Amino acid sequence: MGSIGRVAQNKIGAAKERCLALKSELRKLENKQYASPRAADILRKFIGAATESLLRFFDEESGNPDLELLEPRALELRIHRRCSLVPFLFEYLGLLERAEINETNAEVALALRRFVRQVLPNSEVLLRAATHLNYSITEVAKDIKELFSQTPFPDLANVLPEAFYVITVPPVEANEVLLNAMLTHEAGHGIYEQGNLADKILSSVEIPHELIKDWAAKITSQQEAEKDEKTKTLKIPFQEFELRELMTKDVTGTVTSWVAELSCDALAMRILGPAYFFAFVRFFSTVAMLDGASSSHPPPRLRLRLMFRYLQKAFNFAKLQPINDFMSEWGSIVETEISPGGILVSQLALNAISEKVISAIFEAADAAIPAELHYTDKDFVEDVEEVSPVLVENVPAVELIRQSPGSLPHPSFASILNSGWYILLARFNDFQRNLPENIGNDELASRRQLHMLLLKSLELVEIKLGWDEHSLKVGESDHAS
Amino acid sequence: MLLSSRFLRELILRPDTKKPIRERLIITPILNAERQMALGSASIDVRLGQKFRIPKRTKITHLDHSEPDHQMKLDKYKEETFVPIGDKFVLHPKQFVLGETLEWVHLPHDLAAYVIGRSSWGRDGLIIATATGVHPGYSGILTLEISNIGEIPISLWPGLTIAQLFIERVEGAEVGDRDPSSLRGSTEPRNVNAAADDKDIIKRFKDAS
Repeated sequence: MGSIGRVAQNKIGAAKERCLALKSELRKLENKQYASPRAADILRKFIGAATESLLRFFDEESGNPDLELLEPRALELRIHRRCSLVPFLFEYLGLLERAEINETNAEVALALRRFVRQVLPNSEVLLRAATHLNYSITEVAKDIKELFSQTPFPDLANVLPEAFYVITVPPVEANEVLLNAMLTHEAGHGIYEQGNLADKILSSVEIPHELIKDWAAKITSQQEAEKDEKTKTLKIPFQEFELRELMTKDVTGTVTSWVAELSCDALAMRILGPAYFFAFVRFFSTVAMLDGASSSHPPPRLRLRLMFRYLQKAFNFAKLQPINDFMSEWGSIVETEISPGGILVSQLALNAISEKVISAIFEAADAAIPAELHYTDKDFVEDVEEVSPVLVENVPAVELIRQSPGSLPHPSFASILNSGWYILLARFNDFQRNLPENIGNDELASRRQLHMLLLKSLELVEIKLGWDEHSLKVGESDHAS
Repeated sequence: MLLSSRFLRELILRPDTKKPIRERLIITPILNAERQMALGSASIDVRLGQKFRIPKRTKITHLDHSEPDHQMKLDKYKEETFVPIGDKFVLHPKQFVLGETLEWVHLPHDLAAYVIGRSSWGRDGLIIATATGVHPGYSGILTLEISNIGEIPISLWPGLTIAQLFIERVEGAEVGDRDPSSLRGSTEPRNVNAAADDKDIIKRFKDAS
């Protein structure tokens, strides 16, 4: 074989070694337990099958006499198309890092999967921990399928579900189950994408072209005045029209991102109700300033304002004094004028989020969530009256003796989180009184106990639901009476 | 007086909703009432839960409940793990772990309970619980001390009925009485300092001698 043949052989040899290393890594993972076992299994099988296919291909190519007939660059390209998949397979394997059962809060994994699949059917969820203090969700199936569609093995990616979400939770908050409400916003990104909500909302956005024009003129005239006297050149060499174009692009990009974030908040509010608002208030107090904005995220005050308006419209807290007080306090905070400092793009983007846009966001969110998944005022009242009293007595809410006809026999993810927030904000003293003295007298230990109790509720409800579903499937009638 | 399974079914599945929650017998979740509280018996079967605390060999030379750093030593000595339903935990001969009941057990002020291993497991060498009393007013999962004293490894599948709970009425109990121990509210298997309340006594004995 000539020198170019050796290049191809070298590529094949190196890729085979990496594939064998991948196989060895996969074998090591066989004994590991994951918080999301189904998702982990799908991913492992997919990577395993892809690795085997690549190894088969490389073996066949090694003994292929026709290779020498190819033009050298064509030969290299032919091999490279397959070799280039190997780093991606390692990257996919990396998704399983920190997804082990003891790295994440395994109790919540199955409940979360059920919850996400309710709003995003045909999806699978992999829960993993990440060091950064942020919740995130990434859909990976679409990219993988697209990548593999351009290879000789397009069918391999068919083992992946329609959507494969990798959800990361900060490990320091793994047991802070009430803050896990933030994940609903992340699930919202999936709904936003799948339902093409951007198309429905962005048409109502009006970019403030006149303001941009004024600002561009102002900035260029300022620069003109500040011309470097020695060189007679502008410090920032922009013409007014160029600056206007640049600003329009920046503002449009920012508004597009902000609309997505605000819409995901709106979706989370419909699915989870007050629990999302309470979690947001707690979470963002630590990580952001109320008026701090970026090109990807609107100021928290604007986000809270939209949530607050929705809560006022859809919920009645008048009879729940402590919640009402909490809402009153935050009502004045969220309606205070937003001042995103000297960041011009943020100020201009704020102008673009008009009442018309807010209405479009609300309408799109209402339509995107099926009515049966809306968390309503009636649900909240039931949770306050029927779920929270059980939890206050330091008993997990699993099988409820419910008074309201037609209610679910087991509390949902949304019910458990809302009841937990209600206890934390309105009945925490009662809860503390029911704890052993060494815990009840310690505020932080009591909070931890509440979180553990809520996690236990989620864990046990999931087991009960799984059991009941299986019993129905096999036609047993004698499961729990 | 020991409560029959028939009576337990009534108390657990059809509770008197006029009674405050604190005064109800709650054992939850009940996955299969007919099997767990078989008529004719006087107990309720409880299942193995998903969390385990496994002792591990460390540099710690010994455990002494009277030492001030006992809790810290315990944390180093035990490793927590979660085995989801559908998966198994293999307990090797002579191995000891702490497990938990799947069920949350909440006793009113006038009921107490005993946890007893099921004899079918015992015949394989699996000893389920050694400290078995559950006091009135207790609310929490029950920690199970599980040992394999047999000669071959045993697979422990969470969800299996592993022990039984005998429940008795307590004479002379008063409304408001509650298990005073710090174990109340346990959501996972826990170690506690058995000598926590006796440290003063040990010191007094030492001083006296």
